Amino acid sequence: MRDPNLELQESGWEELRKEARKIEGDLDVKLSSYAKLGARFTQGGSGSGYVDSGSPPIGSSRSWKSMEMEIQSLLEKLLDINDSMSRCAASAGPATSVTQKLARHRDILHEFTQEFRRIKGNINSMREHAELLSSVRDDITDFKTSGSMSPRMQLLRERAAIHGSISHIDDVISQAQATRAVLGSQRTLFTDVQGKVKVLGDKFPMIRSLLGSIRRRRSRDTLILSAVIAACTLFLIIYWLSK
Amino acid sequence: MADQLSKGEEFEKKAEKKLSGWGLFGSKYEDAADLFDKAANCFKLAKSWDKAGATYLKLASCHLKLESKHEAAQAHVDAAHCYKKTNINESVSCLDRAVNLFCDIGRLSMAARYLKEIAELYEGEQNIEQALVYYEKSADFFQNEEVTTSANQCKQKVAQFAAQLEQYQKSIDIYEEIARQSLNNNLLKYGVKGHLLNAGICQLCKEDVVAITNALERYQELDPTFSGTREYRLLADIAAAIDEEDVAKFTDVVKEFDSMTPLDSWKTTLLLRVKEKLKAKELEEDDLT
Repeated sequence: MRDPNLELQESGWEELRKEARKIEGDLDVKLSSYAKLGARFTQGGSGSGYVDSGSPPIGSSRSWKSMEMEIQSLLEKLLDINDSMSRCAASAGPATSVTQKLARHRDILHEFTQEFRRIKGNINSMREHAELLSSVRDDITDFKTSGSMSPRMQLLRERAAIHGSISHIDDVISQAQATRAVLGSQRTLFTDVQGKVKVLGDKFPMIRSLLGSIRRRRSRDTLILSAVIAACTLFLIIYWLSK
Repeated sequence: MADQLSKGEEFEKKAEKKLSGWGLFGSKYEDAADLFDKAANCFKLAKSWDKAGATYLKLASCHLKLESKHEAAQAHVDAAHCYKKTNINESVSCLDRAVNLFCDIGRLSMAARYLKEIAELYEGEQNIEQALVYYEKSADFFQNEEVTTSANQCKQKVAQFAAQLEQYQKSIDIYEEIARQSLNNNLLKYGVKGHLLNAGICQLCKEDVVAITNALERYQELDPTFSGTREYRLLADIAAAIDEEDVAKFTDVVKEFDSMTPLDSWKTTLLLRVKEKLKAKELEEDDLT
């Protein structure tokens, strides 16, 4: 007869796993929509025209906020279900397939969390960018911007690109300098090691004889100890027999 | 996978038995350490990160009893790398213990490196306060060991996070210090205007026009070529807009700069703060009128 407790745990596990897979599917769909919403928000933010740029930011902002909270709650629910599955797996005893499935679900949750965080960061950056550059005089600014494609502007753009390259070069130089410092300290260490190894090599015959002496002394000590123990044991046996 | 897991558990049982036994010949801790190392390796192959981390912690305990602090610290680092995949808090505490052990044996370079790793873990978790604290410690240790490049990298991170936490003066001091150092380096002096721009933006966030003006004069003395750059023009125009409390002018100036050089998210966040304060002030003026 099977254990009813075990059957109950198995059914609980399967039900939890089914629910986890359903939530994972929902999360996948919603994260895709969230990413598309972010892309549309970008296009909406950089849209031209006063009338068109009026309503889309507000509308997309509201739906973006609600979708964010929805995804957050789904992630928390999935985390709770993973914890429940952990407890089921622990109480059900060691089973390798269960452990592997649990690890896979945990990896999926981690991946979704990272992706959600990244998209959220992107959307926040874009929203701040749009808010910083928006103004009630957008139409005048648009007009001013469209009429300023002159050689001076192109030169300024070129110089900005050069500055960007300089920043990247600075990063590479920093890494190179850090690596050079580490290699320098490593070379110092190897020089010390080389010196020590040379000294050790000079004394190697002495060390070999020393090790031989140690080995002989240890062997002799072992023999002496064995002899003493044997003698004492023999003496005890004789004394006990003669009592 | 399955056989690796069972093999690991077998090694762990052997090690525990050896620890609980009475070692007559040789040290039981050395033998247990070897077995724990093998067990942890098997757990890693089986992708059981929690078990591997726990086993590495036991290995660290064995090494501590053997008075081998370097091996114990290394075991803590290995445990942290295992826990990084499942439990960030445990990973941070393991690295913290490793850092303490490295400090005990005088290996400050390695301590600095792992402090930086802790800071990166907190950064990934978006815990800016803790990331700032550990980046600061890491920068101090790198500075003590005269590894200036890594120290400056950590300091820039400290400045970035300090500005996000509205500790603008600290951020300003760090950026100015890095700019001053970069001026003495022929390779890095072309990036000085970037550092000065960051420092200037932090000055703008402090809403003190006199301080901004003094700072701009100081930057011109530091770097004579700075006054001819668009970064200087941006800071000066924004300072003028703040002085006049003109949000529209502020927006125009930032928009013009952004059309040439797109602002990254950090600058966008800080400039947005400046704009919000300016808007609030303008509204107050309107109410008074």
